[in-house]
Amino acid sequence: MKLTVKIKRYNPEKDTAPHWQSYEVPAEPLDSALALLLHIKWHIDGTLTFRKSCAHGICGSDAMQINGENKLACSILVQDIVKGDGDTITFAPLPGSPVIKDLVIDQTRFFEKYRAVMPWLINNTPPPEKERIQSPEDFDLIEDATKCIMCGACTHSCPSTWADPDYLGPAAMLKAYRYTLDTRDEGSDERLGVVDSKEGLWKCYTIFNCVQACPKEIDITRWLSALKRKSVTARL
Amino acid sequence: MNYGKSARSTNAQNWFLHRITGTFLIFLLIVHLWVQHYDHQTATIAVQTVTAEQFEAGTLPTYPDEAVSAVRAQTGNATMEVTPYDVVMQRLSDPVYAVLWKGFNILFLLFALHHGFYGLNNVLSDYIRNDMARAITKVLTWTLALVLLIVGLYSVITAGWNYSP
Amino acid sequence: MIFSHDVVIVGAGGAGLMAALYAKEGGADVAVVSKLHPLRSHTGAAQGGIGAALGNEEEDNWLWHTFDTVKGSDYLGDQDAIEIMCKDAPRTIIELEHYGVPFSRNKQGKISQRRFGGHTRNFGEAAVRRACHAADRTGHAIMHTLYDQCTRQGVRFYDEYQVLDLIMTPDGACNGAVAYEILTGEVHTFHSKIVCMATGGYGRAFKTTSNAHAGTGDGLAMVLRNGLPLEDMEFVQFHPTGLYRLGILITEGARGEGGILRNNDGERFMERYAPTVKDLAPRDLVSQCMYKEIRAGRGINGKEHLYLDMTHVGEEVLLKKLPEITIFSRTYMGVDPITEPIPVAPTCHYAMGGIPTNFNSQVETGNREAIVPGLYAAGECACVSVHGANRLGTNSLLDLVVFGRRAGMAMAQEIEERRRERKLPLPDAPEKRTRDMLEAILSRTEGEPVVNVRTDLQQSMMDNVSVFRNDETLSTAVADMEGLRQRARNVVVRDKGKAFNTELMDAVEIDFMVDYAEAIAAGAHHRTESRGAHSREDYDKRNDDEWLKHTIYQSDCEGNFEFSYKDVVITRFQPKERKY
Ligand SMILES: Cc1cc2nc3c(=O)[nH]c(=O)nc-3n(C[C@H](O)[C@H](O)[C@H](O)COP(=O)(O)OP(=O)(O)OC[C@H]3O[C@@H](n4cnc5c(N)ncnc54)[C@H](O)[C@@H]3O)c2cc1C
Ligand code: FES
Repeated sequence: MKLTVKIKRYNPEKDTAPHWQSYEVPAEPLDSALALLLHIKWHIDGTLTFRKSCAHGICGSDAMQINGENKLACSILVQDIVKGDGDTITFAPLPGSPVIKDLVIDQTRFFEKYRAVMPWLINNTPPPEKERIQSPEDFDLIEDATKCIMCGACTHSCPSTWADPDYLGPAAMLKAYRYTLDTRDEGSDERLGVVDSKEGLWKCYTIFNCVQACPKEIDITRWLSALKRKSVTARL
Repeated sequence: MNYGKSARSTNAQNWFLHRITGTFLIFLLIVHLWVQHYDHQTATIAVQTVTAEQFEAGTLPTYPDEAVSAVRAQTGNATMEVTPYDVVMQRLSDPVYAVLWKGFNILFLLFALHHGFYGLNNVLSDYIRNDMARAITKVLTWTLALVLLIVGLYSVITAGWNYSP
Repeated sequence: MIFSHDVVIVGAGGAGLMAALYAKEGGADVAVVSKLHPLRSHTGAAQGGIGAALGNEEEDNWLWHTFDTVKGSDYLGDQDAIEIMCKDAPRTIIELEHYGVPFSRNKQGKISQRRFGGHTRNFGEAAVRRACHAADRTGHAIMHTLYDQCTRQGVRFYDEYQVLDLIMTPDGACNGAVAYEILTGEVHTFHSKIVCMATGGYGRAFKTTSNAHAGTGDGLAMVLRNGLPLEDMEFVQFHPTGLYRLGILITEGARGEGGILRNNDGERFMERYAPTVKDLAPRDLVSQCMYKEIRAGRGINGKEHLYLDMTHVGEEVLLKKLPEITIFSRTYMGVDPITEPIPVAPTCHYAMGGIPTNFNSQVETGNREAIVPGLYAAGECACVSVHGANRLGTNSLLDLVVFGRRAGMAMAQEIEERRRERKLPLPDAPEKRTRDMLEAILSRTEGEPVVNVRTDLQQSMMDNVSVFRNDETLSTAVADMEGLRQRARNVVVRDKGKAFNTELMDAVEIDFMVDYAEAIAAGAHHRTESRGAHSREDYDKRNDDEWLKHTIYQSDCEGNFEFSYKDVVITRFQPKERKY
């Protein structure tokens, strides 16, 4: 079939504002949205710019807004977004961060927030000779959160983040959850000091956009709520 | 941005209170609505609804006989016209009954104010991002809450004192 | 601009991050330069597991692991290096666990382990549970944790800087690298005492691959172009179970959990070829058998694929232990592995060959004594050689962490020893070659687009240098390279801008690709025997008398190349016939 692919283009060296450009692209139902972009870049217009790498939803490069929803381009198929021949697919960069070029956004701030939550295991007790023991049940508590690929689909879908760009946002706080609730971690005091702040947890109004956007189907809001409870009990 | 370098906010407590007040407000609201609009026993229900035009023209709703006669009995005026104000005041001037109702209303007032103003503050701080401006809004909103609290407490507590229709 | 650091690590996958972490902890000033943001590196795609004889599930021994690796390598692996890797494995995994890697756990709360192809107990008796894993996202779990730790240690990251050249002194020491900043289009010099290459694999040189778009083996070409050799390039691993046509990987862990390969008759054909370990035979063998089945007309409905049957494994195992591949099959093939078999075919997966290094990850000049001062290499781009002619599953992640760690420690030590020395002076205009190359591409207005050249190269490699090879196909491939090289040097790009010009980088990558693709094809043509993943139809036997040696490839990148050899180190296990 043939599809109309509408892309929000922006070239910092030429444009003053983003504009839409359309391409006619041949497609199969089982093609990924990324395949459409690659087709354009390779065969029609080499200036089209986007990030990509693994092409199967694990590296987190190609989160973008497709038909208005934050998705990984490589992980959504043509058959899931259009009905048939002649339909239109739109691509735009993730909303809420500065655009560098076309579909590429500036992630500086996103990773600044990641670094802010001390995203590493803090444990000052000398480790045992062997691994630290962790029961499968305790592991289950954090497993879902460890699936995060830091693609940014969640944080860039969060109205709280749109409203207040300083808000840590779901991705960073999910990382905080992943380490704070890890039974091997002893750093919850320090980490909670960051997330239990003006820019932290309390700006999550359980809107659930993050859960809907997450390509890894992580139950983000649930884990953030657990972190909120942890913060409250830590203060009691 | 210096995340977490600011002192811990009071948000954890406020957030927690927000959950508690939220939960309680559900029950308080149900009681409130029920008492105001559905309960015959407390005799506050109007039998007839009054449209805006009728209200403008000075029409009062008719009350069940129990309510009307209770007000009349209390005032000793067997023919007086009974207004909603009279019905409520009658209820609040009863010394035993009033303690319960005033307690209820004060709780309701506190919870609603906290819940609403914490929420309002959140929304405002989403859009007002300058630290100074935030501090000012925070002071202003909570001051407003305090004023409303005082007005509210004053009206609830004094309601029914020396009531004579 | 000139950036100055003690150590510059090129690449931020598992190997690069591990080296960075240990070098930084050892006190060196470390910069990691990567064309992708580190978390986008392909180590994150590693699914099934990382091998270590922890013995958490059943008795195990690092010597058994050593034996399996040697045998898996078809006796081409250097046994001293393999011993180091297998002996170091448990300690390294424990260190990773202490760093916070979220490994799946068994009932006792220890790291859970599962079976994997070619890993056996007691020197080949039966399959053993040796693969430590985090469900089927082991690489992701390890890489994210390493990045977290590097962040903690304050490693300096230069994200989205594509390194395009090494800087060598007239005496042949390496003292820096030249990088293109993708964001701004600026060319920068990194001046350092040590450079460590960790640029990963080159699967993208083949049409069907499990590797990322970024898996373009740039590091190998840079090394070649600076007059340094590559080792054992003819050994390319095809993984048996890639999703049909797409090449997306279905981990061997799927067979480790009980999955079975079936042909069009529904037959479990691996029983015929490898009676003991069956579907868990090493990858070279399974891929070859799959091709044989397909050639014998037993592909599914006459198509070029077979079935991976997981239906008897049960929903619980699939959802709990193999969630990612369950999702991949559903998303990309519309096949639910719980109820239907998955269509699979071999996919280009891993480079056994690469930059020759010793077991401290120092780059060698092709003979064991002579190292290249200031140059290290680790991970898939390096060849220690622990994988020989065929890598066992779970041994690559292990290679990354063990030799990445050793590289990090060795570099920290070297920096400590050279504390008082100054960095070797930069040559005049170190960036000139790179600037000229970029300028030439940008100023060209006529020519063909990158995609044409790349597609033809990938097709030629796929047709001629894949699982089965012979003199005819390989001569064709080598001959193709000449034309492809000229075409690659004359591609035209439409994007002439400076900001985030990825098309320009595509053009550079295809130019690089020809250089190492030629090494692969020429190496395969040169080696007239069958060993491990290198299977020649015209020389179908292993020939230890002539070929029990590493090939060292050197090239001027103008079509003139030559081979020399390096002995295989044999310590405990004498070459034997390889049967499973
Ligand atoms: C789908 C899949 C599954 C796998 N599963 C397993 C498994 O279960 N067990 C196992 O042991 N192994 C597995 N492997 C193999 C293993 O994952 C890889 O061999 C390994 O991750 C390679 O790591 P690396 O650090 O060498 O390179 P990579 O992780 O590929 O990283 C390369 C780095 O180099 C950078 N780079 C490249 N070129 C340049 C340049 N020119 N300039 C600057 N930076 C550059 C990239 O940005 C990247 O950061 C799997 C591989 C694949 C593809
Ligand atoms: S390309 Fe890696 S997630 Fe889409």
